[in-house]
Amino acid sequence: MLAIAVAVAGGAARSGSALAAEASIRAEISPREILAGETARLVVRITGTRSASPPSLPPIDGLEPGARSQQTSFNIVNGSMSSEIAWSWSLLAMRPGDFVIPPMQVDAGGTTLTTEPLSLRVVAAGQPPSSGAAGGAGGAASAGSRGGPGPGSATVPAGEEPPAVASLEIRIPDRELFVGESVPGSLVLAIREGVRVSDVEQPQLVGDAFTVTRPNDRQPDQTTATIGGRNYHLVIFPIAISPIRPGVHDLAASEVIHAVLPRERDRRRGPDDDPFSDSFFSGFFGEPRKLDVKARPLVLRVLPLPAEGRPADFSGAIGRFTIEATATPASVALGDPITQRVIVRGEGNLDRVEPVPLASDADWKVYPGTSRVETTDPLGVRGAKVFEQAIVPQRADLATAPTRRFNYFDPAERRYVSLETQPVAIAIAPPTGGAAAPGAGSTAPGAPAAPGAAGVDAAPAPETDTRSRDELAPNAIDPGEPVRDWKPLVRRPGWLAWHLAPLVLALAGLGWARHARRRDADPALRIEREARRLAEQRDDEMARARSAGDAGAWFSAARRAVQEAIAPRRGAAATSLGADAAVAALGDGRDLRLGDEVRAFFAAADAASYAGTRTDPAAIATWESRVDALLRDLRRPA
Amino acid sequence: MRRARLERPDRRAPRALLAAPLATRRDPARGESSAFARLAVVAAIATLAACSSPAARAADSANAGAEGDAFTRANAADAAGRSAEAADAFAAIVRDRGSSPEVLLNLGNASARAGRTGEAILAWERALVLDPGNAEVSANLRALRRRANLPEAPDDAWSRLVARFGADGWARIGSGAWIAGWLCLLAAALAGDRLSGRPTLRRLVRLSLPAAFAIVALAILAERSALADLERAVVLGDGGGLRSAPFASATQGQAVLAGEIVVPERTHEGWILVTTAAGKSGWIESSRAGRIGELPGPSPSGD
Repeated sequence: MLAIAVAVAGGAARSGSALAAEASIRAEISPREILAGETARLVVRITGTRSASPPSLPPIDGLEPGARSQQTSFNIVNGSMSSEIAWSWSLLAMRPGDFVIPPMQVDAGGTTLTTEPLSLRVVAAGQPPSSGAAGGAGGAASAGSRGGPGPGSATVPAGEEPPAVASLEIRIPDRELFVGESVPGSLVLAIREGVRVSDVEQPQLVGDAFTVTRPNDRQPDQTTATIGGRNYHLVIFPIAISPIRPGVHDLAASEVIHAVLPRERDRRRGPDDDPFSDSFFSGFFGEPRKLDVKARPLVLRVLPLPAEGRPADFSGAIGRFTIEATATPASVALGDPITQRVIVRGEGNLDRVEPVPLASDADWKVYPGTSRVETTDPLGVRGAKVFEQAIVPQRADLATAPTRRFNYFDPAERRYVSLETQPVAIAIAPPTGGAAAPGAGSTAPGAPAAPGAAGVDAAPAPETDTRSRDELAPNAIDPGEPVRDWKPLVRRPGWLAWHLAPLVLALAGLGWARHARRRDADPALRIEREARRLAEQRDDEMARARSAGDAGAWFSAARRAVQEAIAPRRGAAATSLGADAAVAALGDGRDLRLGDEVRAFFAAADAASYAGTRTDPAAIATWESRVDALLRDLRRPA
Repeated sequence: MRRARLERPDRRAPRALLAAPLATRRDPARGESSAFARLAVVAAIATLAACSSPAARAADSANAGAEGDAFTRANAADAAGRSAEAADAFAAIVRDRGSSPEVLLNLGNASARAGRTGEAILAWERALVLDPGNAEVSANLRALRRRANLPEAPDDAWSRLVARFGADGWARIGSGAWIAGWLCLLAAALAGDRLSGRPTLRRLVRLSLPAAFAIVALAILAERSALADLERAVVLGDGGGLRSAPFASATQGQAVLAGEIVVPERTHEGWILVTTAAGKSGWIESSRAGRIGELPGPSPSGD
C-alpha cells in the first residue's frame, strides 16, 4: 500500500512506563489517484495516547465522505505498552480534479496535534490513469441528455462520457413543442454494474410549465447498456409531458437512490495496503450511500398553436390521427335509429380528440353520443377514441350516412389537418305498419316524432343547444334558497349533544323494565296486588248492591270483603273463614273492639244471607259506615 | 334540479320567541297571581311580532326580488356570451345572499365558459356539498376535468356512496339509525314477555337492533370521509408550481393546474402547504386555494 505518512511529533513512542511518553499523528490516503466515481480511504492515526478527540473532516468540494469509523488498539512488546487510535473515511470522488485534504487537528490529552495536508488526484472516466492508479470507468457526476435513443434502447452514442455510479437522463423528441400536445418520452436511470441500489422510485420532474403523465401501477422497463466500455443497468420510466404555456422553459429531473458501491480497492491491493481498511471494517460491498442523481436540465421551447389556418371547429387535438366511420345497421326503416361509430386512431392528446359535432337537420335527427378512449400504451398517448351516436333518417331517399369531419394539429408538420370520413352506404325502407313517414307530410322535418312512432320514442331527447355548445348542463333559472353560514350538521352546536337523549331515554326505560320485572317476581308484592284488586272488586260489588237496594247482595259482598281482608293473615282460603276463625286470625294481640265488630258483622251478614227473609235495605245504611271502618282497619298494613 | 334541505335559522327565531312565554304558562310552579303578567307578555310579543313580521316579510320579499333580478341579469349575461361578467355577478349573489346549489351551478357554468377552470370546479364542488348527487353538477365536473386534463375524481364504490348523501345526509342517516336503535332496545325491554307469543315480531326487534347500529357505524365512517372531503381545496388560477418553502422566491417544483384538488396540510403567513392527488407536497399562496367546505355567504354581522 502506498501511503503518505507524516510524523508530527517525533519518533517512535518509547518509555519505561506503560505507555509512550509522546503522542504522534499521521494521516494517510490510499490510493492517491482514482477515477471519478471510485473511492479512496483516508485514515488518521494517533499513537501514544489512549484518548483523543476525533478529528473533523472539513467539506471538500468534489469529494463525498462516508461515515467515520474508529478503531483503538493496544500492543505490549517486551513489557512496553503502546496504543493507537485510528479514524477512517471513504471518500467518493464526484468529479475529476486534484484535491487537497486540508490539515486536521486532534486534541490528545491537552496537546493539539495537526496532520499534514494530503493530495488526491481524480481522473475522468475514459482518461488513462497515471502510473500506479487503477484503470476502469466511472465518475460520480451524472448528466442528463436530450434526444438519444428512445426508451428501452441499450446503446449509447460513441464518445459519450460514461456516467460514474449512476446517471439520470430525460429523453424526449428533439424538437419544439406546442402547448397542449402530449409528448411521450422517458426518464432513464443508468446504474453502473456492480452497484447495488435499493428503493428506486419514480424520478421527480421539475418544471412548472408542464404536466406529466405517468403510467399507473406499472413497473419501469429494465435493460442493460455498455457506455464507455462499462456495463450499466438501465431503468426506464415512461412519461408523457404536456406543455401548458408557451415560452422557453426548463425541464429538470432528479432521483435519490441508496447505493452500495463495490469495493474498488480490492482489485488494487498493493504491498503497502493497510488491513485496517479491509472488508472486515467496511463490509463486503462497502458502505451504503445516499446519492442525489440529477439529470441535466433541458431547455425546451414551447410554441402556441398557430392561429393561421386554425379551423373554426378545432377541438384542440394535437398529434397524428386517422379517422374512419361505420353505420349499423346498414338497412333500416325510415325513422329507425342508426348507430354511427366514428373511430379516430393515432398518437397525441386523445382526450381532446373530438369530431365536428353533427346537428339535426332536415335529413337526420341527431341524438347525444358517447365516447371512450382505448389506449394501446401505458401513457394513454397512442390508441383510438371511439364515438357512438344515434342518428335517425328523416327521409327515405338518403343513400349514405352523414360524413364526419375531424381537425387536428400536426406538430411535426406544424399545420392543421382536416380529415373526413368516407360516405357509408345505407338503405332506408319506408316504415312498416302504414305509419306515415316523417317528411311525407305527417311530421315536419326535424320536429320531434310522436311517441311510439317508428321506434324513436325510446331514444334520448335531442341535444339542447347549451349542452352541445360546451357540454355543460344548462343554467338554473331559479336561484333557489340561499344558505348562510353553512356548517356540517355534526359541527353545529348541540347536534351531538341531543344524541344523548335517546340513550338516556332507553337506559331509563331499561331500568324501569328491570324494576317492573323484579316487582312482578316478588311473592309478597304479588299477594298485596291481588288483595288490592279483590278489595276494589268487592267495593264495586257493594256499591252496585247499595245502589240497587239489594241488602242481601250488599252483605254478601261485604262478607267476602271482610273475609278476603283477613284471609292473608291466616293463610287460609277466604271463603272458609267463619266468624270465629276470622277473629282468631286477627291474632292474640288483636284489638278487642275490632274482634267484637267482626263477630257482630258476621252475625248480621249471616242473618241477611241465611235467615231466609228479605233484609231491609235500610240495614245497609246501618252497616255501611261500620263496614267501611272495619275494612279500613283490616286492610291497613300491619 | 333537486333542492337541498336548507335550514333558515333567521325564520325560526320568532317562533322560538313566541314559544318561550307559552311554555312558562304551563309551569305549575308559578302561581295564578302571575297569570295576568304572563298573558301581558304574550300579548306584547304577539303584537310586536304582528307589527314586525310584515315589515320583515316585506324586506325579505324585496331582497328576494333584488336577488332574482340580479340572478336573471347574470343569466342573461351568460347567455349573451359575457361569461366573465356573469361569473362575477353570480359570485356577488353568493357573497351577498348566500350559497344555493342553483346559483353555484350557474357560477360554475359561467366560470367554465370564461376560462376560470379553478373557480368553476370549486363552485360545482360546493354545489355538491349542498346537493349531493346532483347529476347535472357531477356531469359538468366530469366534462370540465376531462377538457382541462385534470385528474378524475375517485370513482370507487365507497367514494360514490359517500358522495351520494354528503356530510349532512350521512349525519341524518346516522342519527336516525341511532334513535331507531335505542327505541328498538327500549321497545324490546318494555314489551318484555309480551313478545314471547309473537315470534315474528320478536325476531324483527332482535334483528333491527344490530341493523340499526350497523347503519350507525357505516354512517360514522362515511361521515368521516365526507368531512375529510370538505377539507379539500381547489387550486384557483395557473400560478406556477408547488414551492419548496412558503415564500415567493422558493424553488418551484411540480406544476399544479387550476382546478386540481389538493389537501391542505397547514398554513403559514399567506401560504398553504398542500398535497396533490399524485402525492406531491408543496406550498402555494393561500389565495390560490379555495376550501370546498367553506361556502361563501354574507358575514354573520351583516357586513
